[in-house]
Amino acid sequence: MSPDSEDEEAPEEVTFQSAKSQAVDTARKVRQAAKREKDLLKEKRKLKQELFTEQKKRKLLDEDILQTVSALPDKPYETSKDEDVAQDKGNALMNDQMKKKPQKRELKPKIRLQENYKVVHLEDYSHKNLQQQKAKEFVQHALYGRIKNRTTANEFLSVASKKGVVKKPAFHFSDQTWGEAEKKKSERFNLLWRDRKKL
Amino acid sequence: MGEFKVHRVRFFDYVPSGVRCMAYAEETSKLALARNDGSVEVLNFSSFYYQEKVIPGDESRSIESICWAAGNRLFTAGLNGEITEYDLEKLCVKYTLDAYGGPIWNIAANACNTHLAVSCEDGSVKLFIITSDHIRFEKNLDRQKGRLLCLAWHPLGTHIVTGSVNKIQVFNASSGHLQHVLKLDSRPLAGRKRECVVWSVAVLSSGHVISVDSSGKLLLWDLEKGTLIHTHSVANCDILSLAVSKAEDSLVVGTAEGVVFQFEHISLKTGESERQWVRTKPFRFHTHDVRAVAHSSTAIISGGVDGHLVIRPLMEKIEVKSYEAALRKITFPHHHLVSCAQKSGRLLFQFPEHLELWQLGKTDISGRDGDVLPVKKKQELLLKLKRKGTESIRCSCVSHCGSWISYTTSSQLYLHQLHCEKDNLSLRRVPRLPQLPSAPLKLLFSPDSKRLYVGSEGGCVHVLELSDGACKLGPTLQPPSETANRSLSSVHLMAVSINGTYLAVATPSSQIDIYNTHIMKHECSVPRYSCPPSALSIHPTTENLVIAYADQQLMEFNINQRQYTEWGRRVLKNGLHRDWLERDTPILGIRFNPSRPEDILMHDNYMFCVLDKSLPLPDDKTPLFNQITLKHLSERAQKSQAHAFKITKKFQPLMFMDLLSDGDLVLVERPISDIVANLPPPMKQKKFGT
Repeated sequence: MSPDSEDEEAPEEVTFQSAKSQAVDTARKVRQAAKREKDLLKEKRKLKQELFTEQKKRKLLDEDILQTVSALPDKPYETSKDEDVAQDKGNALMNDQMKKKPQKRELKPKIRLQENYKVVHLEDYSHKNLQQQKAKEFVQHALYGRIKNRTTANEFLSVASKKGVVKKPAFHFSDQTWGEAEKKKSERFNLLWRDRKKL
Repeated sequence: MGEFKVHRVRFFDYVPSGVRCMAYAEETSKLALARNDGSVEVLNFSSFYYQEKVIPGDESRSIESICWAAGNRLFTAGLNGEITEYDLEKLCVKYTLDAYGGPIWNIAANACNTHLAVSCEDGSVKLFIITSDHIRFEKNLDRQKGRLLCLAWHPLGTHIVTGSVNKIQVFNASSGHLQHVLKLDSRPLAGRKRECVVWSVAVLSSGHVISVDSSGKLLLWDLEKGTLIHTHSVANCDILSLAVSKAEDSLVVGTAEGVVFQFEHISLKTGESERQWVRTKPFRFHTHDVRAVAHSSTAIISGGVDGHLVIRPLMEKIEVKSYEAALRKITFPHHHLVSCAQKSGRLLFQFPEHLELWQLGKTDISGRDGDVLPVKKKQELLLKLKRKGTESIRCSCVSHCGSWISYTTSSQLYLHQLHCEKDNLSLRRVPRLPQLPSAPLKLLFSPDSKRLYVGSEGGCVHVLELSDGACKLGPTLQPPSETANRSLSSVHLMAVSINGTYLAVATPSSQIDIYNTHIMKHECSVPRYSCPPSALSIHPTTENLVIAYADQQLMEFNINQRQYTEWGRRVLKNGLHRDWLERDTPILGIRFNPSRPEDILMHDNYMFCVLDKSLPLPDDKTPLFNQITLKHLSERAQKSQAHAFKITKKFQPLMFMDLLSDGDLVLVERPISDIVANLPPPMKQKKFGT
């Protein structure tokens, strides 16, 4: 056994300072690695997202159409036509506007709003209308709500005809509207068949 | 009974709007009734339940409650938050007043007719003072949480009781402070959260409060102490309505299953002074929810979602057997909703929100009596005309030739001209109609389609002269003397003779004036009868005016001689058959058969009658409905037993009758089962063996 064996050696002296710096170092390395990984993931996602949007675009429009669209002048087609019309006759434009009026358009705010927020006409949501609607809903729920044991008119009439002195079949027992296409087809077939057999 | 080719029209999809609320005025014996479509009707019980006044509805006005106040003033309140008073002379809204409390659930006047109270959605009770021509806000009572669904005054006017979800509140009317809150049982049942909706309350002069609620219980409370005295379990479904008689000895409740229960305040043992409320009789006349009940001194009145109004007399309170002693069920309106273009075979159907013009079907086959002929060309919907605005249609009319259509809402008259060129139909509204001096109530075209008669208030008729695509206001026909009863003087019936000479105008005050339309002058008046006329018509050849009154009386008046005819006098002297007088509904239409001038065709909701004036009138001993037995008799026996009234009940329920120019008879039917199929769902009831 050699006296200089490593096992026998006294432990290396490490100062508190160096140990501390080492520990900080390793911690930093770990943090950096995590960040790098995160960044990589982000990059990957971004690329994927871009790919998706690209694919969507490609699905919507063919390349040549997109090219023709991009080749068009900056001014939108619609407005230029409108202006032409306006130059020709003032009345026609008025008519166009009149026609457009009844169409309900979504209101666009002047400033940007948070997500899930939108601009509405206050008139439609006035206190009075809302209250009236609520009151009507309350009555409807109280009289015809799910807990109320309501039947249908057909069932009611069927029970009445079954319990009556003169027994009758159930009301609307057969649905007349059922299989209309098939009925027509069979009728036509019958006609043809009769024709063929010379009946 | 005369042979006709009959168009049995069953494509008029009329569904009566459900009865929402009712108020009965004992002093005038009038019933005011509001329907779900916002229309208001007034029925006069003293003139055989005749529907005297109809005020058309409005989409924006959903009525929840109606009440009489200060004698003859009618108020309604609804979910639009407004109190409305009606002008019963002009048959329109007098004014509306916003109560500023959100939707109004109930309105009630106190017994001395000085105040109106309304209960609102926001939990407030508002008091209004009734002034001579308006109402004025006075004060709010203590505001509560949650909606107040019903309201009742103490008969002395000291307290106001309201009902809401799970609670009943008692207010002191003079101070406006809350006195008690009576809490209902709202414990969860079978693990399910339960709400107990108080649908109606009433206060008795003995100091008891009666409430009915959605758990099917009738509760009796003490007003002063605020304690529960008695509970009656009435039904397994909601109790929706409650009414107490004026003498406070009887009350009725209406349930969601359509059953009406009566309770009586009687002593359990004879000779005992202590009295209790005891359930006596169930009445099953409705198939759907009974949302309104009323109690007159002799009868209980109920109205439901099924559109029926049922008047059930209480036999122990009726002393003499009279017309009032029988059960009455009123389903259909007492005026026509259909008009007919006789020349072109078209029918105009009136719905509250639109009109429909139909071309009748055709057949070229003739058969024997009783045969059902196959239709060669089916009926065809030519036109569907939607009303303008939110007001319901009051009255509509199509001209004889079928090329003019006119209708009126409560404020405005509309006139349309119809051009028909080889399957190509075009409609043009006549622009710039002349401004009428008063609101239009009743419309009628002259037979040559050159004039439109517009009946209005005060018994006057405005004449509109029609030319191609234009319209001009002509003279106004006015009755010579101011009628005694202003409130009943709006025109409700008009008839014109076939050559256009005479125009007969009737009002519910039974004033019937006849005008000569060539010289635009008043010709004569028919002697006034005690009952309102329900139908009238002028004979095409003899120009006799035949009138049917609401009490089933018939009169024939000769216009040229200005007196009743010989036959009319005989009818008056002999009296009509008992079965005829006891019929359910008034005569709604009278027409004449040009091929048999002695015949008068009449109909009510449940029969069609050909009155042969050449045959003797029946007496009470002979049966009135003898057509089926006559068929099996020999020819000689038939001759000896035949009488003037030839009645068939084959066509039921009948809403309209007219004779086309080619002699075909048009009968518009509306089977009850078709109506039921279109109503809201009824309650499910277990029936044994189904």
